[in-house]
Amino acid sequence: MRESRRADRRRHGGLLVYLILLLSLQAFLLVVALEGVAAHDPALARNAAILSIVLLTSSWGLWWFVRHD
Amino acid sequence: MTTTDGPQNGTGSAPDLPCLGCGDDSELPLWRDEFPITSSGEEHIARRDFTRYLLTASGVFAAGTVGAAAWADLQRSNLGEPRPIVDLAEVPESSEYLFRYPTEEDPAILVHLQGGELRAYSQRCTHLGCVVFFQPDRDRLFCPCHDGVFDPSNGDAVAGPPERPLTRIDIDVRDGVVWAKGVDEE
Repeated sequence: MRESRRADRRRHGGLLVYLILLLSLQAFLLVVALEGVAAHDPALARNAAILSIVLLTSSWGLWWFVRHD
Repeated sequence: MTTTDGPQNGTGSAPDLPCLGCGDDSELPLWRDEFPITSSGEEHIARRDFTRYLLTASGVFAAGTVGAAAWADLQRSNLGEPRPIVDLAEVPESSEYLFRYPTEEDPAILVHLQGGELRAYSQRCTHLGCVVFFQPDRDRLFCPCHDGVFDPSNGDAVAGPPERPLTRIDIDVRDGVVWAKGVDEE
């Protein structure tokens, strides 16, 4: 029982660290997209947006999986 | 901020309170089910809640990124209408003429090359958007912000941090007047 709780806590801790890293990456991608606007480079902004959405979706999926596991 | 584990944040050990509504002393009072958070636990944020906040913040950033991408696409959608720019006689060879195209917020440059050819480009550097200038003595378009260099004959980036060519503007000479016909998409 105690081992199970410890594993659960470790898993949530890992998810927490991952989400903090994700948030940093999302902030970076926002800066990249704004740079695309400033430099009149729609492709750069578009690629940043696609990567941002993919990251968000996968993170939400992981969060949902961990929560319902 | 303090994080705690598990959904029953702040419950901790139940204080010794009279059980109003339970028959057995060993059971928790019924009100505990509906009000599980003690006053001391109100300041605590569960780890699960914190992950939810992080996901929400990520969603906000992602929405901002998508908005910026849409903004960049909208900027590109205005390719301009044909309109006269300047009399050709006012732009001698090895000189430039600055104008605004396709809107009054878009600086552009007309370059009259040696040999008589005319070229027009957006004046915005493709690195970070500074304006570029023509240097006839060195036959180049120069961005002073980060020393970017472009070839005035085709707009290609030849030195410095820019990697993409300048945005080209199609031009034409009609009855001695230089016309801008639209922004070249490629």
